[in-house]
Amino acid sequence: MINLTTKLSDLIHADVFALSILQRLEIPLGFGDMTIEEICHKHHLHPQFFLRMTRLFLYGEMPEEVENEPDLLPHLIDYLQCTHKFYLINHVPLIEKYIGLILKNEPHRSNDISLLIRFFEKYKKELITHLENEDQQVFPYVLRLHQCYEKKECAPEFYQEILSNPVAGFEETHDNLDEKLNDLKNIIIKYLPSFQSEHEIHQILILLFQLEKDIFQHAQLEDLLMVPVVKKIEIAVLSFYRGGDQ
Amino acid sequence: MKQFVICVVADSTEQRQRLTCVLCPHYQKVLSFSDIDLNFYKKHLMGFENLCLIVSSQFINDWFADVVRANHHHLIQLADDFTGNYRETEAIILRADSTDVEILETLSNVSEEDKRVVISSALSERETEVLRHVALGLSNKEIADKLFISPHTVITHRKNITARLGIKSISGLTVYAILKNIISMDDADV
Repeated sequence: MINLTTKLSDLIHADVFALSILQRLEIPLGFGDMTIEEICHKHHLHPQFFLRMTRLFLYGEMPEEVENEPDLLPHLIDYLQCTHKFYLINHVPLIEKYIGLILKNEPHRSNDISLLIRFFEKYKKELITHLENEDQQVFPYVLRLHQCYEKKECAPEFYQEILSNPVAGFEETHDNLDEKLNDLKNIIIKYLPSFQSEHEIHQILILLFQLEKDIFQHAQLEDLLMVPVVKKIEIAVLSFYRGGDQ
Repeated sequence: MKQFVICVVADSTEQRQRLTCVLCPHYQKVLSFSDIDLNFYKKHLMGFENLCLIVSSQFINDWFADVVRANHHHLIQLADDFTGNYRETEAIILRADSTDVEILETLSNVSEEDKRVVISSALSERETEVLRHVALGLSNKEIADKLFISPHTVITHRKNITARLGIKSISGLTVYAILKNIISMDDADV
């Protein structure tokens, strides 16, 4: 079981996926025998948040009793935003790069490759729209809500915003982004005639598997960690509203 | 021209037509049927001297295979995901000899495009038809009207298609339909 005294190096040895968490939190390697608590202190991370997120990612362990910890929210939002960037800066361009290499190696297969490109392009647009909505609408709302909670105040227009567009709406319409990734995997594994560029196509598959797992767990963080806390403090912030007196 | 009668049995019209086209230039006579059972075989086919049956797997059981073998006929069973190359074990040769190998090589030497149509047997004829309309962007209601079936039946077909192919999204199904020449790339909005 991971706890605050676990060495970060042991965490990576236990599951290499921990590396991608460090990468998006911009924690560089070379940390010797530092524990999770020490690393969190050094990089201004919330230790309990780091623990919960890591346990969820590595062991699928659902977070418990998060409703009473609204101070997790800014750290969580920060992490989610970093993850969005990570997808767009790392995974997506890498997949595009390998598709481009296959096209370069096998120009006679341009029809099949153009199908891959068009499918992935469509998925990328969907992904960007999804992430932009969260970055531009959902996360600013959550951060403002948290700010109001800390200050114990609620402006009239924000009171109306909470009432008209609470986080429950986000929860209901939160899209499933991993469906198309699974389709793409199956198309490559089962239906596309094989390519000579085996290394490249295998790399694409590995990246798709990683991205699918990551996006699924990312959605879990939002649904199981963020939404319950936000629901709780929405009620609290609404109670701070004192009519038009503010 | 080889002195063999080839009998293709598959429930998909498209697959039957393709296999027939591929085999016709090479063999004396190529017959095709959408269904077969032992009675049909005994009544119409058993009398042929040199016969090779190429049959989708759902029509064959051990008893049927034994009777065919007993009559010194050749039997090639197409696996559901047959890709046209017997060396990859997608085709199961129930009675292998040099003739079976020759026939399978005829199938293996066809163009990539032909091979793709051969594999489209993963879906039934009706499911292929539904998939074609889905890939062309029609709604369940529009598909139901075109095929004279209820929207509920369309939904059932779609669930079966998804379960068989492992593809859920319309874009994914469209890519599959293009790869199998069920629709052309120009018709599709991938």
